[in-house]
Amino acid sequence: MAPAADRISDIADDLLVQIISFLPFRDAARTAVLARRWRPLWLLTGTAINLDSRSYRKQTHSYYSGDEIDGERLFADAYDAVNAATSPVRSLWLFMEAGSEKSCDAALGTESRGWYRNDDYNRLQDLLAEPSLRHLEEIRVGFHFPNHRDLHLNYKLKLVLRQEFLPWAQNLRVLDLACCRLKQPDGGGGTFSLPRLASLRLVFCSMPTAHLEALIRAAPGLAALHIEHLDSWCYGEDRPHVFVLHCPNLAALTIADTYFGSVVEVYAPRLCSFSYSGASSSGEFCMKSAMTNLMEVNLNLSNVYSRPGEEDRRLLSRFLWKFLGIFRGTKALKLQLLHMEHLAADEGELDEPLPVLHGLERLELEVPQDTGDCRKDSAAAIATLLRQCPVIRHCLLRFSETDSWRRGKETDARPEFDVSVDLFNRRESKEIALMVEGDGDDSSSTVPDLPGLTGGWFSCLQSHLKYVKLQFEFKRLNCFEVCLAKFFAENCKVLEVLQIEDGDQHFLSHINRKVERWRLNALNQSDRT
Amino acid sequence: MASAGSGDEKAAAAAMITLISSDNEKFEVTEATATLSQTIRHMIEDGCTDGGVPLPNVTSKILARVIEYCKKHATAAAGEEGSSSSFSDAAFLEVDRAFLEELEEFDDAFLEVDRATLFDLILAANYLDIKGLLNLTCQKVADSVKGKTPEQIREMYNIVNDLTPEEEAEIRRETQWAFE
Repeated sequence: MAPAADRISDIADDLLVQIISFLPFRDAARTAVLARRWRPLWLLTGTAINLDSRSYRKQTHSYYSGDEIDGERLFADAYDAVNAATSPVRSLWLFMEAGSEKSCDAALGTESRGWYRNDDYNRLQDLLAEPSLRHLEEIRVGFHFPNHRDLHLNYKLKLVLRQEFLPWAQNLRVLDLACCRLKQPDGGGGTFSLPRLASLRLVFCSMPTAHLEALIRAAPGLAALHIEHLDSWCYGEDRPHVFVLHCPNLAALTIADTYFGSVVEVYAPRLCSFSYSGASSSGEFCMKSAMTNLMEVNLNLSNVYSRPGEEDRRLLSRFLWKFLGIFRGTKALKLQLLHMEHLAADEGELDEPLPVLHGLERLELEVPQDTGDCRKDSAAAIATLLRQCPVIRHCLLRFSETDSWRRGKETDARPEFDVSVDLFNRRESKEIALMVEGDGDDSSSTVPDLPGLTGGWFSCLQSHLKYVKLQFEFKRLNCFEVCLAKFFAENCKVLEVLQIEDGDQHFLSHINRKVERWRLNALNQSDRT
Repeated sequence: MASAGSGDEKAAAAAMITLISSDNEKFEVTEATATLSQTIRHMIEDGCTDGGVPLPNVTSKILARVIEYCKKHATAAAGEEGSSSSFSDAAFLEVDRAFLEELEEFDDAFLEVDRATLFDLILAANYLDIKGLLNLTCQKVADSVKGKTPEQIREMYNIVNDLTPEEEAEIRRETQWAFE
């Protein structure tokens, strides 16, 4: 009887090839020696070349860099793989993990000689110019520096996008690059084209604005565009005032932490989803196409810094509503803000009426937890929001503990203090628990009303809002979040679910019991009138 | 909320498919679950699923696991459609992200099987043409081989080395770079 585990011999060759194709290239080549049957198999996996620096660590005696990469061998193997492949190579992945910038540069052949950094040559650019790679459909380049978080700011590779350098331009579908400096020498001459490119992702890359514009124009089929931490700039004289994204087939657009320094004009009639995160409140988008397919919009403005003060609040509020106005047709919106009150807008002080988000069905709003001093503004913000979203059905409000920036500072600086605060909070919580559990019909009166909200009339509460979820950390019975829960319980006419999550604390059942009572009271009252 | 799942099942109840394993056990599954298999999808399109679909290459033990996988991933596919088009009531806020995580955990747990079962799953996924399951299982085998020497791999999977020492030396010379 054959040993039970020897079932790998039951597997047909084409399946073994599939298994081998999941291996890094070196491991794949080593399977040739397992047995006669295995010998030719790895050569059939040539459709994907998976270069991973972690398989090319070399021992050095230098005490500070324990993990030099043998770049020469890595790229020699890559050429071997290209030449050995019996079927066309369809994808090329390069992943570099380096302990230091120096070892990374050495591996790519871009190390500086004296003061001069060899910028015009790197081994990847060379490899990518191989004519036998003309069938490439997918190129992904990634870097990881476990010891230095900021190293990605130095661009590791320069890629010159010129048709004659790029044998694969006609077939490429996916281009995913990190830490690359991209250049198009003729500033977008008409010959360059990427007719099949569907997905373009640039993370920590750098490129002149005009070249990015041209690159995107060269790829009319682009369906997904992700730009994150792009360093873009304009050349002195021909500085354009408008950056044009011309994407007739784009479905998903992400722009994260990238500052273009000019108005961004987007022509994307098929856009379904839009994501934006940024630290600047001056990002200007101008949509040049109707967005009839727009489904979801995700705006993270939690890093927008604002000084305290009425003037700044108004500026931000105007910026925010203008932004929302562009995407007023969306069905779902996720919004992260630093202050809830930025949503509050007094129509009187605006040049034009607030946009109505006429299609919005799902809203997810994340703001830092109420600090206690701006309840009136927060209530006004919720009121504004409910007024501008007449058909909203799902509403999730998440009150995060504090913004991450502040939390980071505090934990770093005073860990012991944190512990004692935590103990203090817990003791306080017990008192709250007693208070919440206290029975009696009049206990609901201890939760105050919200000025600006309570008593207001909102059409979405009459017929649409069915699901409300509140996430917050229970602090005290009269905190804003609890008042808000009470407001929804009492005023949503068609409410089906009001879900409250209070993190690690276990008041959930208590609050939810209260919610039931509020709801009941409200119903009784409306029956009477 | 709690009734959402049973509602879906009711809606799909009209289209149930019977799968018959090699040891003649019958499994009733929804069409949505069954059509994760391209093989079965084509059979349905050709209208030859009346009286059940015999799967002579798949034992009941393995078929049960495959169905478990398909059920989970079929709900995932349905959930995606729901959230992007109709915003169905059941697809409550945030459900997508939580579900994706859950799906990943499910996949990890699903792969906690002995090697014989893993190979049977590969064969079944290949025969039934379920791409996701095939990739998942092949990746699992590849992960177990990664970084191992040929000797270790042979021992692990009881692979009999039928190469002569001369042949082996020759191969090692050819692909010397892979062994340094």
